[in-house]
Amino acid sequence: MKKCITPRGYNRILEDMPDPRFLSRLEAHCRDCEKCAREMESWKELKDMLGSASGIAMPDGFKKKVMSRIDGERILPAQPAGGSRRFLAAAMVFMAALYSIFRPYLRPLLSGMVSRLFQSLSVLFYNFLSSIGIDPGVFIRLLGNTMANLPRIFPFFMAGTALTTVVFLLLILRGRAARQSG
Amino acid sequence: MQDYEIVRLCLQGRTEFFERLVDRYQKLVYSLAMTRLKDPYLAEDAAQEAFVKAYRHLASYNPEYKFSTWIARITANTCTDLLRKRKGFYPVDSAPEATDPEGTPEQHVITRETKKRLETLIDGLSPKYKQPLMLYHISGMKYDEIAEYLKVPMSIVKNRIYRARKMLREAMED
Repeated sequence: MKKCITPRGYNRILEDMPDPRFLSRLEAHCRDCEKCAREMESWKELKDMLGSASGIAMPDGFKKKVMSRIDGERILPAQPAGGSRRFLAAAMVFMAALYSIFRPYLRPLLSGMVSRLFQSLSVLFYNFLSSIGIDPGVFIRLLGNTMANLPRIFPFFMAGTALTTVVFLLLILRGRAARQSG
Repeated sequence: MQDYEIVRLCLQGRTEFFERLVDRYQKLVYSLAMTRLKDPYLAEDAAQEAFVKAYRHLASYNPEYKFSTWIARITANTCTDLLRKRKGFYPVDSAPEATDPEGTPEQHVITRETKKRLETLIDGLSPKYKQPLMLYHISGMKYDEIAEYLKVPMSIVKNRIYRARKMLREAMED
């Protein structure tokens, strides 16, 4: 007796147009092999179930309803591809230009914002550590050192923020592109 | 006539040709909406809306892609928008079924029960396997169309459908 059929072989029964030569080989094998015959029956049952599930009836007059709705519509002009990317690039250039012009005002403002953020976070962290019974001294010293070195790490912080923003924007654009038709 | 030729004719003003596209893809669009929304009335609304959107944006259709995947994506987006608008929406469990007019009432009951059982089994699959399986068996899409729609290689589509069928068969035996 020939080698038994693998599950991948049975899977071919469920294709739209299974190879007739393969089917006749399968049937010939199943005549001699009870185990494979049972297996084939179960795959055929699945095929029948999936076949019956595909029979979704269209609602009455569906095409007519669509065509009557389309009567009042007009075809819009084609949207230029990559429009949002160009807009993003223009926005980034604009922001960079804005920053370079107002740098003397923006830099201390941003620096102050970051300092305040660190302060608030450290207070929160202190309270959290105290509430769970851990001495916050170690972390306070660490935060103190960080604050003292802030001017030096500020460019890295800004670069990290800019990079994160770009990554987020790219992810959003990719998501939008995936949602776009075509 | 190829889909892109029909689209070209519609863009030239012969909009009556759009009916052919509706004819070709109504089952795909409606079954996709039905699978997603599980409500016949809402699915019909979504399917109609998807065709109207497709018509409006026909000029933006890129013939490099299959029309089926384009309209399937529009349908999916329309369903997402509908669901977002109707948060807390509860589907009506009265989908019209394609019943054989020749069949006996017993056969209809068996068909309905079989469908219910299959739905339960399919719902138990992870979305990764469920989606390509539904697209192939329920919406009648081909492997290459599913691959284009899901943006994955065809080998992955085939493999996921195979694994989904295997899981279903095992679940049927339990």
